[in-house]
Amino acid sequence: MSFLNLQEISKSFGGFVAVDQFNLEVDKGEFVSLLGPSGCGKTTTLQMIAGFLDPSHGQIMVGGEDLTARPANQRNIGIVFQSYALFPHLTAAQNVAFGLEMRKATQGERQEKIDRALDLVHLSAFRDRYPKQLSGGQQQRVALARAIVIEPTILLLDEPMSNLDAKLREDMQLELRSIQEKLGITTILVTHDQNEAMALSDRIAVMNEGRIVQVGKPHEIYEDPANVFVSSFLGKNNLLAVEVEDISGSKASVRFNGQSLTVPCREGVTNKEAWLSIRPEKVQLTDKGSGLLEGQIKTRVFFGNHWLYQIETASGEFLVYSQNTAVPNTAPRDAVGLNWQADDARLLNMDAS
Amino acid sequence: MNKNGPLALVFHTLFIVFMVAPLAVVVWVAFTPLGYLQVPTTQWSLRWFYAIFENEGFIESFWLSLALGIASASLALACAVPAALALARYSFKARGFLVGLFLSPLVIPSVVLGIAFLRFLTQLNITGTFFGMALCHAVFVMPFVLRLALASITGMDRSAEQAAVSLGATHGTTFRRVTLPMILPGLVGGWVLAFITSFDELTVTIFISSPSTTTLPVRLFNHITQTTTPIVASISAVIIFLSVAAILILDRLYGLDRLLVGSKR
Repeated sequence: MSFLNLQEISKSFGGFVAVDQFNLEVDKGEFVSLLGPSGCGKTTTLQMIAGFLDPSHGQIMVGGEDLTARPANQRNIGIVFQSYALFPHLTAAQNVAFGLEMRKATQGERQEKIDRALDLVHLSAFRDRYPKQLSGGQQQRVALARAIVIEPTILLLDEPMSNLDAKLREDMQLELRSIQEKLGITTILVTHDQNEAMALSDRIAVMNEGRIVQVGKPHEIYEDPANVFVSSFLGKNNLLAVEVEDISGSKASVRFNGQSLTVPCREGVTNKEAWLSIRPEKVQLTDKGSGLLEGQIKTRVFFGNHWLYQIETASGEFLVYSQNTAVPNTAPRDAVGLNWQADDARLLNMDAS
Repeated sequence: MNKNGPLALVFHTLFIVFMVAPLAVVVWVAFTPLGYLQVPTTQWSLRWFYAIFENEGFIESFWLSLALGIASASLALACAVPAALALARYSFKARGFLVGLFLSPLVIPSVVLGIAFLRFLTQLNITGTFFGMALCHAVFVMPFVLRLALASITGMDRSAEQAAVSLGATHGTTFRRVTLPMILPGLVGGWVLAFITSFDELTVTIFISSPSTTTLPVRLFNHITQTTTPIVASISAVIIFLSVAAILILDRLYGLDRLLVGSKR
């Protein structure tokens, strides 16, 4: 039996269905991300778990208890908001103390827990500062300390990193993950940033238009996306229109450009026409005439750890990442071949489902 | 900071001079030893300041205006906070109408309001009472309090309230411990504007005051229609000093920008 169980929850506002029959089971101590574009219903789902919105339908179970009708202030759920939502008139320590005061903790117990929480987020030296005297990253740590000090059953994170700059965001992600593992706290993260979701989560639930499209471990979802939406939302991909000749089990033989290839195939691909999806880092540049496709280099951009190539082919533009191992011997307008391992490609339906 | 061009500089200087000059002249005149309004050049005296304390009528009126200002500003604030919360956070049919209603004292001519209030108080049989005047002033200063309360509630990050609730606070506690402190600067600003407006309101008050409830502006007005002793100047000077002191204290406590312009944290 899972710890957090969202059963068939739906939410509609007037005629608009924001969340549609959402099912998710989360184990105790697990870190799960709800990932999707804005307006996909991920924040609405979070608000329902927190108790700020009532589901139109469905049940929210935590540890075998039905929380659906319980008021938000009795759910014992910690939340870190996108804006951090610190109390501006209280110091860092007073912010952290708020939840303990509401729980009528004794003075001694309160002090001890505040110290421990601020220590955990490395802010002991800043306990008497007001939020406006703290940097964005420090404010976020206070918000995290405030949320975990009450020892919540579930920690909800609502796009917590989106206001931080890129370098700080990476540091905070690592730190957040280590704190979460140390405390063993069941955590739901809402984000539209696929890198953040992949870096932090045990599992990712990809959402679109109020529904879950795919749930799985980050690596699984990235490598084996359920459809074109997931494939393009998690990282970049190249889509090649192919003709399906035959499907047997999890393999399909496809034709494109006058050649046949046997590629892995998910269940559900039935149409004659399908997309062959290949990740840019799985494509190799080869000499002209030796690959699966022919093309001409349009642009080449240096990203430090890798080169990005845009390549014009007869089947559309291809994106290729190649590791920065040496100065490449290719230049724009060179004719090149593109090659990839058949097992690295995925066959996907042309429509989104 | 942008530098002002020469033309703008001239304009701003003139603007400030025209604002401040009358005040400076009044304060100056207050120090005259003579019996009429005259700018003193050679002789100075505090006689007209002493004269204030010998005139019980003015002292009484000062206390009345002070009490009236405090009572009406507080009454208006007590009504404006729940009203502003409802107007800022819920959309309902009568919303636009209610906002218009609360702000209408700003656009209705004071003379019309004065006559209406008089008629209304007579109907209720509370003409010339402190309570009746406080009610009328509360209505009159409502727009100032409501505008600033609305601005600060609209500008507030509501997720702070959600955070408080998620930490276990009830709605009452959330309002008391989080919402109220966060909108307090706007409320104080509104209260101060309302107090000042009530304290020096003349047009409406003339209609509803009685010999036993004569506010300071009404008494000054009555006085100046009969005589022109410099006591009006010394009273004005005292009020100017008190206002400057009050503004300085408020600026220290909250910052004027935050109180009157709002939204800056």
